[in-house]
Amino acid sequence: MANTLRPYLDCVRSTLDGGLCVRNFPSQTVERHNKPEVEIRGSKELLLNPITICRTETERCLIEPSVNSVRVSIAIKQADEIEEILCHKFTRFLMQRSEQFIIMRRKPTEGYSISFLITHAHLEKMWRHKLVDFIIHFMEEVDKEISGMKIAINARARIVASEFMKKF
Amino acid sequence: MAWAAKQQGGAASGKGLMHLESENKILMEALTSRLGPSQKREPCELKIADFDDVLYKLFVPPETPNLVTLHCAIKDWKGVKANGGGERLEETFPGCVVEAEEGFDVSVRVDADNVPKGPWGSTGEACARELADIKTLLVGAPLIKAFRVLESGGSPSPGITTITIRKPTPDGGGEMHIVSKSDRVTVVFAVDFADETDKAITRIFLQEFVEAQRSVNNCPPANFSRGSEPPMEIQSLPNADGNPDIAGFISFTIFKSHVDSKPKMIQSAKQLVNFLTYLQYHVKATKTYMHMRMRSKVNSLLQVLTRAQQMSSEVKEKKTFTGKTFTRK
Amino acid sequence: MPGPTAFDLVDPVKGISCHAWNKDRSMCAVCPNDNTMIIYGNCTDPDVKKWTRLHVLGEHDLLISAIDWSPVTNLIVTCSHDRNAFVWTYNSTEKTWKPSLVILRIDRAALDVKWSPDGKKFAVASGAKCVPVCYFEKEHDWWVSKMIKKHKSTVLRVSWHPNSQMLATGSSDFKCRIFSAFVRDLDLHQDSLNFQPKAFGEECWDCGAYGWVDSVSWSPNGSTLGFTGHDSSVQFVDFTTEGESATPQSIRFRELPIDTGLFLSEKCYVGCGHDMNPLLFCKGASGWEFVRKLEEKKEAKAAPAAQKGSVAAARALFQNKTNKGQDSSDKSDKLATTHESFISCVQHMGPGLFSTSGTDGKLVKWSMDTLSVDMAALGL
Repeated sequence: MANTLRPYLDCVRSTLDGGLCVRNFPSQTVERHNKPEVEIRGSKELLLNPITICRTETERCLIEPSVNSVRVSIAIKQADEIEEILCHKFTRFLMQRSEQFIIMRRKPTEGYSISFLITHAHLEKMWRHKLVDFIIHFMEEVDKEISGMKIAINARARIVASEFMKKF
Repeated sequence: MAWAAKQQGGAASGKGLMHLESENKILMEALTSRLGPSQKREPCELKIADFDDVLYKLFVPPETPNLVTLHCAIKDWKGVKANGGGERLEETFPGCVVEAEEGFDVSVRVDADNVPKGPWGSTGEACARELADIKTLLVGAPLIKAFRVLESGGSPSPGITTITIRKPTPDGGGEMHIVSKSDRVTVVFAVDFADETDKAITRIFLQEFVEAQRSVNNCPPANFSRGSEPPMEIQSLPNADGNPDIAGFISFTIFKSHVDSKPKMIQSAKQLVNFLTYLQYHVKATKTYMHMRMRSKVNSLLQVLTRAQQMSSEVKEKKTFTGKTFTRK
Repeated sequence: MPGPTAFDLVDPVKGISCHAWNKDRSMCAVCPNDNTMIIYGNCTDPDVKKWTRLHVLGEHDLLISAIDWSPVTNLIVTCSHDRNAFVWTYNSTEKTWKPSLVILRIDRAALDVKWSPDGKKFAVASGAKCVPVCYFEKEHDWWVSKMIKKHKSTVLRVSWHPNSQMLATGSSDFKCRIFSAFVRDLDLHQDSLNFQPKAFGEECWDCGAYGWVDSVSWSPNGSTLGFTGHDSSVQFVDFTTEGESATPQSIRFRELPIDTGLFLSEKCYVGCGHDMNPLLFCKGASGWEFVRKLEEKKEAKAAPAAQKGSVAAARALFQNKTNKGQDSSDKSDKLATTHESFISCVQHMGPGLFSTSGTDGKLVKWSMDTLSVDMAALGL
């Protein structure tokens, strides 16, 4: 598993590196507005082709660059019911805190577990390479956390069950 | 995990957070102070709600502070009464059962000056303990009844006894089904929780009960089945098709060896009566644990994000409480 | 001093959106990524602390996207996302800069502004898909604007040919175009290079690219046009002998796209942008080619060791731990390049000299002769 993870994350990293070349670009459709074009989708020529990077069928990453913003959506692998629930719980927990996460979207793009929206304003205040580091770290950690939680729940359940059975 | 492991050690000594004690703590305290050695003659009117939709009311009138009356409402008194609940109550608290007050199912009155004798002994303290655990006593009555037949080798009554232990969720669940055979008693619980996460965690837990029987000696065999496939034993029930939305069914098969002495019988019944509460308690605890994990993960992720932020190079001028300004160097 | 010289002019949290120099480069106009323009004096001093903040001019109400300072007339023109442009005139008796509003007649943001080399006109790139070319009408005491249309998307950059009559534009419709900006009353004799003479606003030449055309620039004598695409490409077009039929030489490079560039000579082009490291292109016998990144990897500078034992150092350590989860700052946050974010503005400073600025708040002066480049190849 780990050996397929590396190339996957490397691919995401280099795609992000290229995709995060955004500039301050005020709206050409609405006066005195400056909105992320990837969300507004007002002018076709300002959007670049979206790129999907897949590790497996369920685990993939969608990167949608545009002239002044990039949307990164991640589908987290969910092998079984409990992983699905844990993933849902965890992403919801994170998205409730999207204010703190600055670049996180409150809602994921359709078909994905969690999305980030990075605008030129974010890149003016953050180091691009560190931001990419964060997203890669995030992808690693979320996977790890979900499988970690799953193991922990199973272990807990085992103890709880055997303690109960011992009492007979 | 470390937490759970520690509790495992704690549980062995009979303390810790692993097991919930079946009696009601508040009730226990109130009763012990009135019936126990301190013998406080204090009037009170105490209403308590417990797990499984059980309601208690402890009433001590000011004019006769020695008369302690416990009223109790349980979810399925009708079912319990029909299956030996009444007899068991009478048997345990002979002469103390009084007419139930409006809104309650059972009332027991004990004179603190003259504590009656019962199977539990004759001290006020023991009486208080027994009263505080009246839920186990009542709901366990149908189980005890079935166990007695099993122990004595009598021929069991055919059919399925169903006791609703708790209010069912929108999808169902919350019942205990007792199926008696000559060599065994199978107790099937329909388990459900309203929340999807709870359901998923419950399924994991229930599966682990099945696993646990392999590692624990002399425990009753357990069987887990999903909501859509109710176990064989209860397929004769009217809505036997099951419900795929409920968390699942778990059945414990009690053999003669589990009930061949009185304490064992009572202990087995107690375990089963409190099974749903125990399960719920640990499912909720697991969720709390998950939250704690997620919280700390969020913090560590935020730290990584903070690393990406450029720090302001401007030296901030701060004001002290007294109003002096200074710059941090 | 070898290598580029960085001046930490603005807080990195704010950054610099654009800057411009006066004729002798003793003064610098900087926009700290907001609606104000700050004019610094004493800018030849190598210590940024000795630069003097002369004027803070806040007439715009949105971000100033470009500043240009004409060496001929000493006028400053600023344009902003608020759709307006101001021409600033220095009043030497009052020692103040007086703004005069220019009616651009655009209804979207202005993105770039450039004085024509003769200082008589300026052109504004705008999100309204057009380019107002403005000049002063004495009889009305008024800057009037004439419109160049024909763009299908936002115009990102403009660049004047040295003859002040031809204007190149780069647009997010993936095209670079050259227009006639000949104004009869002003320019008197039309010079249209090798193109058919055309009236104002007529398109003389265009060329497609595979990405948004982020920057355009003319070489000093106007024989070569360079424009860059967001697909990490740069195109050079030689107009010495050709007009309409001229075709570009395209160079693709590995590095991230160039956002802004300029010619240092007829044979040397510097492109700056998302790579944070200026890219040097030179014209050799077989045409233009990528030479190298200007800044070479250097040993990471040892971070100035915080004074051990001081309260501030201890505090910084714990702050680092709680905020970032890092034990020390050893895992350097520093990049190998001088700029730490993308370069959004580049300006000429003289032969072999140029300056860059970016959203990291740094103004960096580059001198080619200190960068160990083959000076002979540059043709300065």
